[in-house]
Amino acid sequence: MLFEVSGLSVEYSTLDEVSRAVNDVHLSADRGEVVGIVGESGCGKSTLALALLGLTRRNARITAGSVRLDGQPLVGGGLGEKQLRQIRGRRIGLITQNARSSLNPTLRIGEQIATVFATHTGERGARARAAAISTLRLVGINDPERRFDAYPHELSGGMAQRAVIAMAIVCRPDIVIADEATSRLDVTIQAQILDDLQRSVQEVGSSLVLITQDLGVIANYGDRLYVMNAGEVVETAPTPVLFETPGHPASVSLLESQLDLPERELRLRGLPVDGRVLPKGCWLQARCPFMDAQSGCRTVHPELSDVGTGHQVRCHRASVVLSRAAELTR
Amino acid sequence: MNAKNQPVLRVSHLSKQFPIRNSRKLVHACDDVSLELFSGQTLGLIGESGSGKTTVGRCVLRLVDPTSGSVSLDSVDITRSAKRELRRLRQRIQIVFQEPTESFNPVLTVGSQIEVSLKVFSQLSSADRKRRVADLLDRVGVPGNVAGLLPAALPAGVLQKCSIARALASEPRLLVLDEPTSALAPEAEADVLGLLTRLQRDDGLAYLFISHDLSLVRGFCDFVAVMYLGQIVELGPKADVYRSPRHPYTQALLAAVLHPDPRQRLDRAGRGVPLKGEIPSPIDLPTGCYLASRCRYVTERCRAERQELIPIDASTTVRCWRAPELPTTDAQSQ
Amino acid sequence: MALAEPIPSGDEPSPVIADEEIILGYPSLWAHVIHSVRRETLPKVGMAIVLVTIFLAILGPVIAPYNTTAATNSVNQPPSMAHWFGTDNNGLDVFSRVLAAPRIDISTALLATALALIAGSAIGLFATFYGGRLGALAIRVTDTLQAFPALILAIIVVVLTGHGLATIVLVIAVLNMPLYARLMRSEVLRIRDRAFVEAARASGLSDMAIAWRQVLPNALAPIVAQMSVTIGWAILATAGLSFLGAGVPPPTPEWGSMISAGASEIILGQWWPSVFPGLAMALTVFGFAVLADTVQTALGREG
Repeated sequence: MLFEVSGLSVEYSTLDEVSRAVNDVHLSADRGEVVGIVGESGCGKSTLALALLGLTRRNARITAGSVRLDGQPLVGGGLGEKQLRQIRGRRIGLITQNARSSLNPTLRIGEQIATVFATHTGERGARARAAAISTLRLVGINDPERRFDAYPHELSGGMAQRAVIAMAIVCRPDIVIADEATSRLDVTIQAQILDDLQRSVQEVGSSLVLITQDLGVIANYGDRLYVMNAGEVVETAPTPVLFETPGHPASVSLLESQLDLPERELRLRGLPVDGRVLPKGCWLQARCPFMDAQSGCRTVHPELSDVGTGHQVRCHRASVVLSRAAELTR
Repeated sequence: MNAKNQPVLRVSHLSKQFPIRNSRKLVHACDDVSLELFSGQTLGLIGESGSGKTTVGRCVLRLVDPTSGSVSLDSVDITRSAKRELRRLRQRIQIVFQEPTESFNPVLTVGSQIEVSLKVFSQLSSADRKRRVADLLDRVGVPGNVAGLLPAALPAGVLQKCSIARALASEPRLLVLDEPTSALAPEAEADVLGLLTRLQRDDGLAYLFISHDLSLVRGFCDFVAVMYLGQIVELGPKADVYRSPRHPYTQALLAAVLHPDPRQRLDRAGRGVPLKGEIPSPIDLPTGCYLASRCRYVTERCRAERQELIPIDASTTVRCWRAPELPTTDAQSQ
Repeated sequence: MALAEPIPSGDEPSPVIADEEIILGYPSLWAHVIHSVRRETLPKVGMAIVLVTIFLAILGPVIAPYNTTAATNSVNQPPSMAHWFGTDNNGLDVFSRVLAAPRIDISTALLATALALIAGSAIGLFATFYGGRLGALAIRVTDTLQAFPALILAIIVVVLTGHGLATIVLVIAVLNMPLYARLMRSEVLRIRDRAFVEAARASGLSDMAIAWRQVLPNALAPIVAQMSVTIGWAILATAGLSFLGAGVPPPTPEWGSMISAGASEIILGQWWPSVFPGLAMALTVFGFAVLADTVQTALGREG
């Protein structure tokens, strides 16, 4: 496996409270594979995206687990911040939602991309410029020699996002993490960008991790999926399997809301779980329509268990969910 | 009493250009937009950013004054109305904005803001107004105690329903719904849409539904107008437009939608990229068809001639002279 | 045009909104300000000073132990049990005069600030909201005024209206008015394009009603924050102008003129006629400044 995350946990702490944002997450991605991470807002996926690079928001910290790239530990391997910085951008690329805020409005985009390249490879001047231009072309920007000199405000939203993607992949990283990278874009632009991104990543031989709420994106580009809820991975499966036979109530809930299925009582009720006060047993017990005290939902915290090839579900009621959901998605 | 066959809203050749500071150039926000809306119907206005759909919504309310063309409410031309007259006519048409938190004044209570049109358009006493506000809140499914709260105290879904209550206060004939659910979570979205459907059935309201969400429009609207760079490029009954889109842009738009169905992946790959290139600038628009630089069916005539809407069958019009001869793609279900 | 398909019915019952789903509202902005003042010591000290000063402005001359304007023979007495702050070179009790001075200093400061605030805000609001040629002209005029060096402006006004309290009030008001116009203008620009203003217009409200009821309440925060700063400044300015001789004629108790009158005595070792009024003034301005700072932080703005 190219990219392996084991037992990763992130906590937020305010004055007197501790909130678990990411809990004991295991995931992996192989070369040329597109892995999707989906979940409702507040499930912890964005916190996870940052943690994969060893980054956290101000009052958060990674409390456990490791991230390994090609066998080499990134997080949890005792690497110092300086070494981590050498890896970020070089071997891992991150694309975030708001392109504009990733670009310096006072510098030309070509320059920004070339700088990333130069910083990591030590090659400056003409070589850096050439790398930037070829990457701009790779992400679908026409006339890249001319666009090299454009300022961010001269670019449309779609173009700016492509420039950010170029910045993330100019060093041909081993893995690209895209956190809601196309959610604010128009439909036709989104389609073009995702196609270009997928193609670039395959040509370069990297992995792609798509983090999103949009099931359409996942269905069309993801090979394998992880569903997150309350900071945990609650289900993982190859894409077609997840869509046809979801095994976790959170997955069913997600599919329902986006497929406009008539059944509403299968959705998770209420608001996302508060990471500060987690109950004994399954964390979703208060929201789950499948909750059944007899099955241990209130007392035993479920572990990820196999329900099929490459398909794992974190739920005591998985078999019930599977059969119920199969009726729906037929 | 209005005759049953008179449209609630008729827009004719509406155009709007915005001047640019320190420049003689203009932004062409919308161009030659014509449509009709009858009581109890919903017309969806779809398009991507820069399509002009928001401008059309604003012009219909005259929150923005059109550069040319006309807007009539119940056969009354409101385009030329003077300020005072216009304020009176505002009773008939109301708007629900995209962001509920933005559309409410943060320092005033929700109830007092719902009351505003009651104060303007009715002679009710203060007590009666409060009662009416309570009725409206009840109608939209919001607890009455919300009236005394500040907007910031409420979740977005509830606030958006209050927005609808406010719009209903003046007993309008037409509601302009500008992306009313884009800012809401799926739960709240379903809730609001159910409410709007119920209200339309009970009151015979007409809706102008502006949205970029194609699947949503398909579920909610009767008729659909597709906009590109300020022009309507296709207008017809929803089922026809979605099932067999005739304009190349509509085809590309529908093809670009990512359906949450992994089985359709291979089809997408086979179809190739439907639209190449970037959208032209709304400041320097080409002479002929606006889609010419990106359309795979483009010819010289397309580039030279300005395109007009032509009927393609009994109920659909398309702004493309080649449409009758082009293959119709059967867009995916959903 | 016939309906193509039946409209989906909306008959599914709406989910009941549980009371706990309504986020308990935080109190209004002003409650937040008051709460911030109450919370820490420093603002409370500032508040206390301000209240004491206002109290003195009203009742100072009444509670002063000695007459503040009738000259006596006990000239230039150093501070003692009988005269806590000593006497000045007219034999007047400095302590009593210090207590009585706020009536002039604070009143002029408050009045001048109120004038600047009301005139400036009104110009800012209407010029920006209605726009047009007149609006643009009004803004240009206020900009020009603001660009004037304060001292020159002060001298011009003094020349035009002579000495006296009215002059001081006018000078301070004119000097600060452009600032409030600018503050209001930038707020109106920020607010007038927001959706809720459009919603108000769509509801049929007239422009005047929108300006007054919708825009103005949202624009107040920076104005109020600035107000406390202006008051502190105005106290200093009143004293300053009086010090320069442009203000109140003696023997009316007023900190500035007291400092001025006693300034030449300091070198002779008679420090108390100047120092005590100076300290009182510094303390008062400090009190207002601290309050200003707290209000500004609570309203979320700097300087």
